[in-house]
Amino acid sequence: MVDFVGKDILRVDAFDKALGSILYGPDQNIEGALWLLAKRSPYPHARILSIDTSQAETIDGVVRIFTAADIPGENSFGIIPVTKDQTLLAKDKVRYIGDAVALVAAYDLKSAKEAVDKIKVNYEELPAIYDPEESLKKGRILIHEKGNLLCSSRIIKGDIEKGFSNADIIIEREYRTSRLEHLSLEPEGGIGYFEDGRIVIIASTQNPHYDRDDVARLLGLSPDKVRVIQCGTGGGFGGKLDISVQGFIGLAVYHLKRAVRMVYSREESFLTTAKRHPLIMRYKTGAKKDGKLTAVKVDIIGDTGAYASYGLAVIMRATVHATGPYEVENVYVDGKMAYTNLPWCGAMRGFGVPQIAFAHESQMDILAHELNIDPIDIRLINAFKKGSVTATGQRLDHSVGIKESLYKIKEIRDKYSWSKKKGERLGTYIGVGVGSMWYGIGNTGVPNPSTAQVELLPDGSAILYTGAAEIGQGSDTILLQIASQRLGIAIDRIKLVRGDTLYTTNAGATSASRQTYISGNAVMDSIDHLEDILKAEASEQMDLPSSELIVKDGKIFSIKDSSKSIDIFELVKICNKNKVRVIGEGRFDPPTIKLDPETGQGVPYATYAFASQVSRVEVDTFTGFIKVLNSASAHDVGKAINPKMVKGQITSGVAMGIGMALMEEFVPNKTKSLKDYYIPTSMDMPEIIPIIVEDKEPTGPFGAKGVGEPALIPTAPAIINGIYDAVGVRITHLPANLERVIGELLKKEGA
Amino acid sequence: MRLPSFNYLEPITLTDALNLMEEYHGRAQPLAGGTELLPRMKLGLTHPTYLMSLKEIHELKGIKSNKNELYIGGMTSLREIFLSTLLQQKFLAISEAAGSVAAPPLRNMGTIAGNLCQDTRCFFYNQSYFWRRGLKPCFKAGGNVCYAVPGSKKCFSVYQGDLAPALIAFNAKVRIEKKGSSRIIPIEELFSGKGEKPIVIADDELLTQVIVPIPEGIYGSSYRKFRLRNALDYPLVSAAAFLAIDSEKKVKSVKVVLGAAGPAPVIVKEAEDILKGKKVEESAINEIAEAAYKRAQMVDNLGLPASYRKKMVRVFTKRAIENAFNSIK
Ligand SMILES: Cc1cc2nc3c(=O)[nH]c(=O)nc-3n(C[C@H](O)[C@H](O)[C@H](O)COP(=O)(O)OP(=O)(O)OC[C@H]3O[C@@H](n4cnc5c(N)ncnc54)[C@H](O)[C@@H]3O)c2cc1C
Ligand code: SF4
Repeated sequence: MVDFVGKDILRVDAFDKALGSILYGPDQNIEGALWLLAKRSPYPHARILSIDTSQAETIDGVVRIFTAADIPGENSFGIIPVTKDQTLLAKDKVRYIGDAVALVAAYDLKSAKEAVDKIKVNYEELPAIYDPEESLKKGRILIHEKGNLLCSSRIIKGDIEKGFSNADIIIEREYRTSRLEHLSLEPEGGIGYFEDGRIVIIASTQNPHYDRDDVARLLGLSPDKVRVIQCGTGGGFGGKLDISVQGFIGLAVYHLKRAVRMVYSREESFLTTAKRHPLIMRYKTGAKKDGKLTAVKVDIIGDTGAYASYGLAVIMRATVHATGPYEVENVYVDGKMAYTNLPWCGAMRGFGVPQIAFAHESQMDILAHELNIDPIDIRLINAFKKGSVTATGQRLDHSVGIKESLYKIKEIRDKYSWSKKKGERLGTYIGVGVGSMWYGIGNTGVPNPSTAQVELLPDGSAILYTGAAEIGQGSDTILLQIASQRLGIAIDRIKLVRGDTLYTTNAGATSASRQTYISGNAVMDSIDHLEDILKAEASEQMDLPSSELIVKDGKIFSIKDSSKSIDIFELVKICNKNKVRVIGEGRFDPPTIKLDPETGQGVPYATYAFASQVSRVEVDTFTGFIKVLNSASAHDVGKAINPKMVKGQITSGVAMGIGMALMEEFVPNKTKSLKDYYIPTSMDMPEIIPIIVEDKEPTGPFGAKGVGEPALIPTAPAIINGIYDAVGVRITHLPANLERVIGELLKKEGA
Repeated sequence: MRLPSFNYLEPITLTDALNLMEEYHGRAQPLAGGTELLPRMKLGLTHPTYLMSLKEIHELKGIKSNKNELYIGGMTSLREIFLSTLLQQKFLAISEAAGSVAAPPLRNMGTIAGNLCQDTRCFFYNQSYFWRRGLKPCFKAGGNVCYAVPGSKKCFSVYQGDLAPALIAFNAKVRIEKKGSSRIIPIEELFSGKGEKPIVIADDELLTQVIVPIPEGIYGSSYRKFRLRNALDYPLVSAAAFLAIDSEKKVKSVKVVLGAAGPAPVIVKEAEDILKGKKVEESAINEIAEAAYKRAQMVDNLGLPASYRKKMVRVFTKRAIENAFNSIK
């Protein structure tokens, strides 16, 4: 009996990655490939009067220069079908500093750079808008023709006014977060060429099938005329969900029919790819004296920057999750997403939930302090349990591990006696903070299926075909573990074909923590189908009805007489001899119910992950420097298919969360690169205790849910609440960088 | 970002190196660990035609001492300086400074000579070609504007080397050689105080050795560095302190030096007057911190606002003096 699920199997890509034999986007090269480089707008908002490429074209080494006029299909793209508002090359208008206006193809990068400098664009500058609230006021200049409101989302449950009148205490606060950069290991990059009548693009991506469809749309081709292959991807975090180099590569190959290459510099990546949405969140929370929540009212305004990207998904997710993982009878959440002339925002690990969790967990912390209740207890008093009803009216029937996660962190906190005290050095204080979260797995209230195929080969091996992009999170290994357990074949006997639109079918994006749950289920389904095929074949060979057959340990048995059996690979040989491939087709779409546009009622997700974290921080009141000393995070993942990898995700989430909490801030027009965008180093890491909680999800593969994004979410709140515990100042604007902390400390001193 | 092309020289003796420097009329730029020079070349801030690597010149490596002096070869790595027990025992501030530079991989490569001879830095200058190309060159780049202090007539770029303040606190000197001659100068004289060209060392000269007099009697030292993260970052402000006391715990001599507080390390000259002959007490420390605050020259050209960095001068001056005092055994 093989046993691969629940085991710390070594990642299947570990050796190749350690040895450096995987080629990432920027490593991709073909002898003689032309370099592509985009000419970008220096203005945040301007009308393009004319583009003169004549001088640039005379530069030796320049092959061709493209402008919007060269785009044969629809010059608009965007990951959400209803908000495709981004131009590949700007046509009439540029909307942020960095909008591409022309594309140079040249023999070498030097000539390409020279040409970019020589392209003359005549602009008429337009007034620009940098503030989302300003943007929504009437009479302002329009960034997009349809208006400056990208979208809105509302959740209404119960009677909000009654909720407040029943409350003993009401807490009102405003919270803000900053633009963040994903900073995956390698910047965007890839190559393209023409082969068998198709445009082939090999690039760093989280979403090969979407890339294919949107590139085809830009070029006015049918999707089968474009083939996208995902190459080694050293991280995405949501930043590689939108297309970047893919569109440019496609356009150049379309016209030139030859190999091209494009790699963003780190600066270009900073300037022109998606950011995390900064949100303004105004909270009003009511509770009884005993800590029980009675009402939560939230007003959210997001800044999506120049383009929509995933803005709609972010605002929906933020509103749906606004209560936190707590039972609240009366809820009113209103979210709006506005355009500005700043760098555009898209998906980033958690789609708005890390922002909203910072706010709802700060509110819980304030309540705990005001009511003098232990911050873990106040969460336990309100936390969801089986049977709880969420703000969207969804009843949670299974796999609700929030309380368990709270018990687990309480155990750690009390075991090590983590509590508020003075630090060793004069002026330093130590505090302990708690953060909890919930996170819906998959896209919000819309179909988001995955598909997969599993084929058996006569030599006793198998092939798993999946479109699911491996971006470092480990889906290759997880899907193989699931397949091998379900098939009863050792993991090294299963070959993986992944992320190539010619050979695999759509698995949807590697986002929303969805691949283990959704693609894992698609793999399970494909093996169900495979067994049906085998049984049908066996029923002929054994002369027994299919219904009397079962598959077990690599054989097909008769239920009635276990001496009657046939080896499945014998069946495969027979089928193959008859020129029939033994291939099971699988599909899974999580059952959801679309949210009502007026009230937000519905079933946005089939299942949720839950987590709680406790962090111990030291605040230096002289400098504002904050050191995170220890951190314990308990995550309900349903079932850990690979516990070590789950712990890896949790640890990485804490690391990323420290950046979000304490230092990361992309300031438009100021932040240029890693020199002025600070991310934590290994020396800034605390001791991290990852804890796995397994409240099995009956609809998940072996009970699994997801952990990729949840890992990040409780970190910033736990740290911020820890700072309050230590020194009594509440940071309501992330990040809690040195200046903000010192500023608040001085304010407190003054008061 | 790629390195621009250059010619590579690799002498194996100091004599050969000095000969080459003369032969190439100062166009052979010394390359030690390369951790400071190569990033500047990648950004297109400097374009040496010849790089002369010093890494094969073994006579420039290592730490030696006699009764009176400590000798650190110019090519000694920061890692070696950080881990040396001799330094940890007798020259704590220097070891602490070496251990606080950048991060372990950079300390393996980076050398003391390279650390001392590093260029000054500024948010508006240390940027890639991609970002600078739209702007007119500033003073440091040979132009005549300053973006950090618009309207000013000079450059305010900051010397952020970690070792110099600690070495100056110990009254260290450097040996500078060129073909046929050698001179020894106090480290503070290595710095011009001008952001445009901060290091005074001729094109045909090499910094070959650091010489630190071994202090007598009872003393302690400390280097305190303020940075955003616990690794990788240059100092936003730093302070080194040396403190010698007599048997009655009265101060015999004291030296306080600031880093990242101007285009050169800043010696807080008042310290000697304030503390000499007295016991180390909080009021005196505060007074020195105040003097340090006044001496620090800061403008908005690094990761944090000048006003904030300036406030931190007080904090880190105090910490350096306190730690130096506490390190006295
Ligand atoms: C990410 C990063 C972080 C850093 N953080 C810090 C920091 O916190 N603190 C800090 O002080 N530095 C920092 N540095 C800079 C650098 O790593 C160190 O200063 C290091 O000690 C430089 O030594 P090197 O041997 O690598 O110098 P190199 O780069 O080889 O040389 C630096 C300069 O000195 C000249 N030079 C070298 N040797 C001689 C010689 N013998 N005689 C005359 N001139 C010579 C070179 O020509 C060049 O101009 C950082 C660098 C990076 C990339
Ligand atoms: S201080 Fe002024 S002159 Fe000096 S490097 Fe900075 S911008 Fe240039």
